[in-house]
Amino acid sequence: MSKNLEQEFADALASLSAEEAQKVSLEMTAEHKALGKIAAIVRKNFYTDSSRKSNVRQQIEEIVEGLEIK
Amino acid sequence: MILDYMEVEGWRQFRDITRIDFVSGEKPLTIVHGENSGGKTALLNALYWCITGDTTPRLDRTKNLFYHTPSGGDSGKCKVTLSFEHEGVDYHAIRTLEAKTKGSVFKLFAVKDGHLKPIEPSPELTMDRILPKGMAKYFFFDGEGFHRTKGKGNGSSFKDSIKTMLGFDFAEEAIDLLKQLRKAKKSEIEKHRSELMESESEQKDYREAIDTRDQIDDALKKAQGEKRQFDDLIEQAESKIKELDDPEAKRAQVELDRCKREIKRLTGEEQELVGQQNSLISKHAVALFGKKLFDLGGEIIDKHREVGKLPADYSDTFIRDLLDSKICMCGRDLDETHREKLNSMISKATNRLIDRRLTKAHIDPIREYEAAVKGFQTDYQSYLNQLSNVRDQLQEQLKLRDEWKGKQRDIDEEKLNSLRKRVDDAEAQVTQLVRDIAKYELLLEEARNRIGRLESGNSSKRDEAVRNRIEVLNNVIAKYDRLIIVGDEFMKQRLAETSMELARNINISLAKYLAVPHRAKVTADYDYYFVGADGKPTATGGGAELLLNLTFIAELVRLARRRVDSDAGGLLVPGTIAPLTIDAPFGEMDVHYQPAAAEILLSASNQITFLLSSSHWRAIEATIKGQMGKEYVIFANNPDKPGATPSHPITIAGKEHHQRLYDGGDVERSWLVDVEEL
Repeated sequence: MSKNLEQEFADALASLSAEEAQKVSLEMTAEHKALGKIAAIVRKNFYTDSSRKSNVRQQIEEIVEGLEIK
Repeated sequence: MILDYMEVEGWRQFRDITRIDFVSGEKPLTIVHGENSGGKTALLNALYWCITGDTTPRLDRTKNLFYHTPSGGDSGKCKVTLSFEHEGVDYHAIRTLEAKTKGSVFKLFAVKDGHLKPIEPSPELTMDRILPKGMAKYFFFDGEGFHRTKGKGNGSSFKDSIKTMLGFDFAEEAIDLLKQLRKAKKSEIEKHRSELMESESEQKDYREAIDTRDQIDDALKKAQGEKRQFDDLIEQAESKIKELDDPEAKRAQVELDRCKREIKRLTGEEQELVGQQNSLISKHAVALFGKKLFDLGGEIIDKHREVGKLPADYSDTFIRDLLDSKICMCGRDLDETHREKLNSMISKATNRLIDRRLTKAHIDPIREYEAAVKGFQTDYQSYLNQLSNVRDQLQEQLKLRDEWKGKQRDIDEEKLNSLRKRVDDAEAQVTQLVRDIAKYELLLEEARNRIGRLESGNSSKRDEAVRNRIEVLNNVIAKYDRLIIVGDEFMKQRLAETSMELARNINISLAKYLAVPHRAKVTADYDYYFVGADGKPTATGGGAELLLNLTFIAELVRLARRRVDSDAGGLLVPGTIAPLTIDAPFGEMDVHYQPAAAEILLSASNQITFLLSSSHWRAIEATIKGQMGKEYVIFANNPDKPGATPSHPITIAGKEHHQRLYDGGDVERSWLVDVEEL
């Protein structure tokens, strides 16, 4: 493969990453951020037993109640 | 998940305790060299079995996992220990199997403050949460057998595993939790509202109003849901129509039809002109014939003018008679001296006479014919000009027709019409649903107002604090509603985008190496295959399918890792990513694809293990050398041929080693040696 073509692919990959990052940052509204926090809590507690699930619910409630909807 | 080490004992070909230390980070590649039946698949299965309790599809004699003694018995016990790190916690997993007990025993320990703390009561469940059983096969597999995991019958589990890997499971669970919490808040409101109702009739009216509102609300949600489905259907169908309804091909068809019509018209015009031309010729046939005839007659006359004299014998007799009579007819005297003069006069007289007669006959009709022929020639030339013009146009259209024929592509009109009909039907449904939704919204507003009136009618008797609480709860529910809608939309959008993103990344990776001009397509269900220039599935050879399988897995891991690294997914928090451990990764793949596959896999993973035969090793050695952190060789002893020359050589770091030994004094077994100790 020629050097030019290799550079072309490297540029394409770089622009893809930049494009995706820009898209995500544009889409990250307050709701998305809150959902991200909730998903992170769910994930963090995914490996624990069900006795800690009530704690998860409480954390989620706090996030939702603190959300400012425009 | 990062693997630390694995120990096997009494496992398949490995009688003694055998340990592999895995590497990760800058040099993430662990290599295990081994010849066929040496024990590569056994080691892959030890890892897979320890985590899942199952073996891979290609392992022979899956029921017999114990080490076999030469006499045909077995060790009666096997054990695999796996040490790994996950989410910042170190774990030890131990799975044992004994002939006398039914099923394997699994124990999982978390390392805390240097001590092993057993995870109870469900170590299997915890292990399954760390790496779900359904997903393990996409990280620990043999190269040739990978297609079986995505093939027929595995579609749903394949899609589910991909969703788990990319974090969709967590997002779905988060949204489910939000829905449960919203339901609980609604119940709380209903409870508070009931408290506010003092009289039975008020409570009855109130309950009815609530029921009515809920029914309308349900109907509204149902209609909104159906509308969304129809909108999706319309979008999909229109996208398909756009795909099928190629404007260039359509234009080619239109132009082709126009050319055909024009050719038909010009051909008709040509025939008509030829007919008119023939009629003209028929009409002037006599004149043309006559003219031709008189042209020929004229030539004859001209010819005979020269020879139209009186025959010489008659002239001579006449002149002699005159000379004999010595007197001319005019009375002059004649003698022999006048002979020449007489001859000349007679000749002139006869010529003039003949000439006058013939010329008169010649001129009169020919003038008529000439006039007629002149008119004919003007008309005939006009027809010739018109015909030439028409024939030029015809040639041009025939040429155009051939050009458009070359651009013509069959458009599946039947399918297009069917899709258009589906769009029309769906749009009709959407129109009706929009009307229904507007109606339900109006009814819902009325129902809410009624509830408000019922609530406010008793305001004097009600507890202010309860009403405040209801208001707070309503505000909170609105937030839940908003989050659930945003979450559902986000999930739907990301699911659709992810398959496209995967396809795009796969094609970027493959474009560097693929020897055929195909592209990979990934469907919304994560099925994937090669397509040709026409977008239809196409067959490939030389192991390109296997290259696609490995690239798909590599890009999936890369995508999941990108979410881990950048937290770019928002709602899509990272799912589980395990190290890739691949037995005979390149199968029957062409040699020129093998370094490509190795490069793609290595670029995507931060820990990877290849179990390789010497032929695969030779093909990729130069490519992977810089990323290799640990290297092992499996040696195997076969006591059936004592004294036979050691075989299956492999050259490592310039030194040759024989992987198969024939030591009659020892038993049949395999063992693993770290290359650094060789």
